[in-house]
Amino acid sequence: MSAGQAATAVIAGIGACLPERLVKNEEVSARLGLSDDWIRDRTGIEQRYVSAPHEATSDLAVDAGRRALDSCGNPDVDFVLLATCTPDSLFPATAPSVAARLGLKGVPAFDMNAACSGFIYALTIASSMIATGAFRSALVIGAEVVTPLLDQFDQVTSPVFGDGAGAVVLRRGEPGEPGSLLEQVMGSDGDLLDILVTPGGGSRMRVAGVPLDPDTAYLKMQGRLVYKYAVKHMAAASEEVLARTGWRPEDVDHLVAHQANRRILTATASAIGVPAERAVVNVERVANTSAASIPLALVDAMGQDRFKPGDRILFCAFGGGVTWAAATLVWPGLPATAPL
Amino acid sequence: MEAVLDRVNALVLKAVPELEPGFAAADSFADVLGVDSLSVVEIMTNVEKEFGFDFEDAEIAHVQNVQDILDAILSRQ
Repeated sequence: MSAGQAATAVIAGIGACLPERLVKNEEVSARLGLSDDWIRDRTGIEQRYVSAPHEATSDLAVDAGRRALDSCGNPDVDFVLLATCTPDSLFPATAPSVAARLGLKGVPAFDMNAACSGFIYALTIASSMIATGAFRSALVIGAEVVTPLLDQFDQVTSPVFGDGAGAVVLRRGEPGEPGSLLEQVMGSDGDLLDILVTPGGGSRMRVAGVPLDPDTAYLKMQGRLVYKYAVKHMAAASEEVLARTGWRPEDVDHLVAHQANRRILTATASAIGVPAERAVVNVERVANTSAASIPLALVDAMGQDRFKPGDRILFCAFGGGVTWAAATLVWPGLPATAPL
Repeated sequence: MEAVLDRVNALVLKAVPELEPGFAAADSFADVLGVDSLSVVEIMTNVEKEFGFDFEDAEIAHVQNVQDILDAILSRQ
């Protein structure tokens, strides 16, 4: 690295995993009393993977982390950052357990919750930590087991979410090296916290003496407002990050957005001005996996040989909080990883 | 008002092209016309652009039919 130039963090490896149990729409629509095409028409989702009792968030995180490390020769890792809004326990954080089970006991390990925006938030934070020069490498994981938070008879949430995990290994790189985040934008609006929330179990309800019952423990979503604000904020964040990068919408080779819903993806691509065929979409087969969705989409796209080194990638996401984020990256060409 | 109604109906058909023209303003999007929730947001986004204002979140959450949209537009004029 040249004197005076900041270090960058480069993606060196990637991995992802899904739980074993595949749940097709037919099972969900029968439970909800809906027609077979109801879910697909509204969401683009055709199936999702649902965790079994032995597949908590840490279990999926360890699997994805192991695959990412294996893909790039098991390098040393200086810290572990886990993006999740579904930790194994409310306390303590899940990342230390994940690190220990990956043979990384002793390194800093912490959770970060920006809900569905979590993976881009975590990539940005980890990249910044490496850019300080204090750390040389990181394992960044997005892992979620959302399905136990769902009211199985709620038409709004029950069809939409699935479980999964994805991870990337970051290493210190040269300025301008492909695989580093070029620009990033993050934001939040806590006035909208009620549009996507699981209130039960947190201090707000505990301190008020509200008992934890199934109703408060379920994920609640105001679908119309989530749709409106997801498109609005993902498009605005994307436009801002493209401007900072010096890319026009038509320069983007691949839009890798949070896989919330096919219609949100289509509307977001249209609002940004990126042709729909350049949007990576795998929501039809994994549903919305929150912080895991972007690395899962990357691994799926790699499995289809969709990326080539030098391709310009735009990431964007929106999630509970509400939070949003966008980032740009030139694809580095990564070693093959285990397919999903 | 009829001119506004015509413009709103056109925006409904733009968002939901498969809908048969001739629906009534009081027809429920969900129960009568079979327009799903996200399409309602798309209709309202079209209206925001056409008429140059933003709906309140409560309006987005609760609009049931074209009449509700019409009322929201007229209350701003």
